[in-house]
Amino acid sequence: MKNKPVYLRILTLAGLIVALALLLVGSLRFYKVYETGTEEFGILTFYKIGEPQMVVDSTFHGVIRKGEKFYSTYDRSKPRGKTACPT
Amino acid sequence: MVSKRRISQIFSLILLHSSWGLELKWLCNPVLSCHSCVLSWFACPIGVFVQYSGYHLFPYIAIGTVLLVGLLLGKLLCGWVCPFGFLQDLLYKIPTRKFILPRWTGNIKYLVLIIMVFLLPFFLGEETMYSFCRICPASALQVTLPNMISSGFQAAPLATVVKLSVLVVVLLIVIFSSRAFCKVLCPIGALLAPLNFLSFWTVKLPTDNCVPCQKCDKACPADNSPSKRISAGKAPNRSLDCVVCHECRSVCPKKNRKNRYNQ
Repeated sequence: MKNKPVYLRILTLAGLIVALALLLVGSLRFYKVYETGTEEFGILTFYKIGEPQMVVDSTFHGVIRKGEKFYSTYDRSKPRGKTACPT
Repeated sequence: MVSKRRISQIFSLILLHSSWGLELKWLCNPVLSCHSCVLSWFACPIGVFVQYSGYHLFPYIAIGTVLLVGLLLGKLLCGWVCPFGFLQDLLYKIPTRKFILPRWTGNIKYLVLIIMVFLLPFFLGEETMYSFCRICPASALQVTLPNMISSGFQAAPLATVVKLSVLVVVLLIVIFSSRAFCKVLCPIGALLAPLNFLSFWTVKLPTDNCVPCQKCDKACPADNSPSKRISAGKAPNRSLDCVVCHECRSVCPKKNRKNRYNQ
């Protein structure tokens, strides 16, 4: 059987490095997610959540985007339990 | 006899939908299985891409995971794990007249991926009615239909009717054309297709002495003519539409016994 051409092997290795780099960068990223309806004295409270939590939240509309800010759609101080996507 | 692939598909169907408590939804599993199903373990990469496009964020972990799995396995999960692929395989077994879709229809899935997964949610927001999630037949089967049944078939909104109609059309077409959804519409297939050329997973040639019996072509669920690549000495899975099912190997009458899958 013919082996993969050299350029494809190089692409595979490059892809592997990119994939691992994306996972590493992703695991180090954090987002500010503001609580809705908790504005006190003009100050918005927010949670800092990591990319893995953002992925989880994206599976059930746990975060919505308004302008440039992200807002939580649920109370993060309480245990969430299983939540399904409303769509 | 039930093949190893069928056993893998049955186990995957059960295991992917058996999360009674713990979830691993920070991890994307590149198969068409909706994360809205309360029993699913993993996130659907397409659902995550749709949301992230609406958030105007780059999905580092989701893209990294899909790229990593794709580079390691190619489209192996499509053939051995995907529950919706399994359903299509079963429906295609219904004895009727069969047909092969024109080759150009295979390009539609790339447009679906670019337009309905990335562009429209980016410009119209993550909750747009025009994202792929709103027509996803796997989501309709796993989430929309059970929700309708549990609510006692109350008046359904137009979006639900559209979603269920797409499901019915897809299920009807896959009876007549093998893996038609995978070939034409599946955005995960579109993402993984180019990685078939790069993946470490290789379906080894069934034989060094290929006779043009074309049994592999008839067995191929993707109607992908593996005989051309086998007779040219290339791995049968080095093709955009191959679902890496290994059927071409298992039906080969000249199969070399010493030559096993590279797994």
